[in-house]
Amino acid sequence: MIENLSDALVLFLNVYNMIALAGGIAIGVIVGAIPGMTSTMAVALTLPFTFTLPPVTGILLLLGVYKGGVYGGSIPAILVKTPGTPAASCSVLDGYPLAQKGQAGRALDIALYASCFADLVSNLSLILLVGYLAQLVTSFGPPENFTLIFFSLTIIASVSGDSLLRGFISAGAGLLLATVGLDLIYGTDRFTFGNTDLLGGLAFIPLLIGLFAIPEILNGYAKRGETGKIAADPSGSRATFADFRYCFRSILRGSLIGVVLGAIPGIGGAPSAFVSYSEAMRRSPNRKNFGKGELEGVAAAEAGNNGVAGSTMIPLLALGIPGDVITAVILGAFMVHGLRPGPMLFEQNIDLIYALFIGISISSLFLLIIGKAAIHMFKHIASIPRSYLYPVVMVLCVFGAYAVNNSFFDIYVMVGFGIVGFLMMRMHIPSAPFLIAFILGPMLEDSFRQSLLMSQGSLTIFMRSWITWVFWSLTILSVVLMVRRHLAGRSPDVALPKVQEEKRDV
Amino acid sequence: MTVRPVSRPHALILIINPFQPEGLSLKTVNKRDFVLGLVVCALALFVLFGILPWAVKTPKVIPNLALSPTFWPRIILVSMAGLSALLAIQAYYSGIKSQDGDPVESEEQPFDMSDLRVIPTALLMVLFCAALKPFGVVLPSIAMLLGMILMHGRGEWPKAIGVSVATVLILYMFFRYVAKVPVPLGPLNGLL
Repeated sequence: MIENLSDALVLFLNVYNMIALAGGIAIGVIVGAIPGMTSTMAVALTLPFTFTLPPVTGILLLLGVYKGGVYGGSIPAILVKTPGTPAASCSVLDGYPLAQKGQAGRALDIALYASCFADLVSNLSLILLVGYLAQLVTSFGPPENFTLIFFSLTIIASVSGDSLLRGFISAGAGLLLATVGLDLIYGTDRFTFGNTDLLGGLAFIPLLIGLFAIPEILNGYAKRGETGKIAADPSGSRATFADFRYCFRSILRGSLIGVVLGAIPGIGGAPSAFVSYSEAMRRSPNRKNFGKGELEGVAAAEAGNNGVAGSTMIPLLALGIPGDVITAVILGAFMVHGLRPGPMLFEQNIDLIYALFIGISISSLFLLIIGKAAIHMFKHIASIPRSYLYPVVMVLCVFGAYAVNNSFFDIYVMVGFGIVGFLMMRMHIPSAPFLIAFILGPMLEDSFRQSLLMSQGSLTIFMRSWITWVFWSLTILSVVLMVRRHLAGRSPDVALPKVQEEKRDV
Repeated sequence: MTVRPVSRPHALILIINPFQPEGLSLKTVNKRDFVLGLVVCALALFVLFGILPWAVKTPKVIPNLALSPTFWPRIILVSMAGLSALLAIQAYYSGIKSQDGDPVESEEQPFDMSDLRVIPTALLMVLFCAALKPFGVVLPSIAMLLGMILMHGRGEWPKAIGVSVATVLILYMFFRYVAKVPVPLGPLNGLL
């Protein structure tokens, strides 16, 4: 343990890691603060810049972007009533009324403090829990892996927006495109049509950039979205220690809610923020003020939202399955660096894991410092003209896609999927299930066929141990719950707050 | 609320011409999902029966059907065809239900006039792709950036040219000298 820690310190303690972490958080906060730019887009565009970096530095850069993006979304939510990210939707409810009352600075401060505290709690839970979970997974064989990945595919339901069927169709397309290339067992061509560029399959990063960055640019042009009017100058009022103490119970509760919900694949930040907010409202003596500018409401929403940031990494690092779209991208980053998250990573690269833990622990402090500076810079960030921003992002996409394999073909793939992604957006087909299925598809097929090779074709191998039974039960439970939730969501008396509904498709 | 029964001719007309179903108000049918379901179902069946047999090479002897390279794509395509058919059916019936003044889903159109603005940008992107092989990455990127800024901006030529050239050059320098990516220069080879 001590030896591993000292190895990890050697890996972590260099100036590049610090710069990557701080730079990542700054990029995340800036992108998160620009309405219309998503954290997923930021992580996707940053990914090509990590190719030449050492794995720890590259992954810390991406984690920084992720964490910065989660907080950054709350700045426009509070100041212009436009959440920068879906997870910040809940912060609008009390943040914007506070800003209208001239307390924008106070709301932003408490949002930052709640975010940093929740992030710290989430990081600690990740460090304490992930090792135990990974140990449990070491006994997994191909059938157990198959049932685990099959279960994790149920997260598609939570990223499917308002129609499960559209989500499943999107996932089906992702699974199908993941089969392009050489067959895993016989080595024969599948859907390559004689094109040698397709022998290795469709590259993940051009597809990712195409699906998540270009549709946003095209949508921005179509809608000519303008940022709203800033309600108040954020440099006015400030939150005090008394404010933090007043909100502390809600912040702590929200952090724990975030940790629990974040560790479950597919839940994500937005539901966590709303659960935390409703719990704070239920228990607060000032519940009548919620929705009219209650400081505790902002704190609870932001704590719930940021509480997931560390714990979504638990299933990723321990089991190798992504908890949401951004961790799916981070899984891709691990793969780019030749690493496969899961129990083997703990056995073979424990120093890297500890180095990441050290970086993640420090990230909360960096977030506090950079977040504070971003509050004052928001006016400048929000005023970047879209006519310049989108083309620059487009060129960044081009260079990022090309850098993957130094191939023009990847740029064609990116542009093609960009147009497809825009059409999907217009047809209300969510692209997140497509991406998750595209990543998990090869693993699912691989473990399925390996299992059948082991059993000489008998399907009973998928029932061979208590672990497979547990995952089948969880899958059934998950499917029943998602169908129930879907049906309940269709009834007119069960309505999500409007602002959340608008963002669910992102 | 009473649910009106669906007559067979109506269902047939919807399949033949989903955008203008005779006897059914346009507003009452969830056209988007109905068309989407039909299109995806048709595509999945076309790939399953038309493309898959020759696009996936199968060894002559396979010990088990499940080990065949076509097994997995077949499962996916059959599932997609089934799910998309279900989507079309669901959209059709939800549209019929909503005829009685009980709207089931929003009637928001998938595309509107504002989407026409996207077409020049998409064309520019396709032209950019075509220019990559003869001109490398740098020149077409500058041209695309400039074109996009001018198309959607206020026609500030000097500023647009400055931003375009500077952005692409900075990115080129980073990828060429920091990330060591051999970015093709095309006619600029030897200049940069």
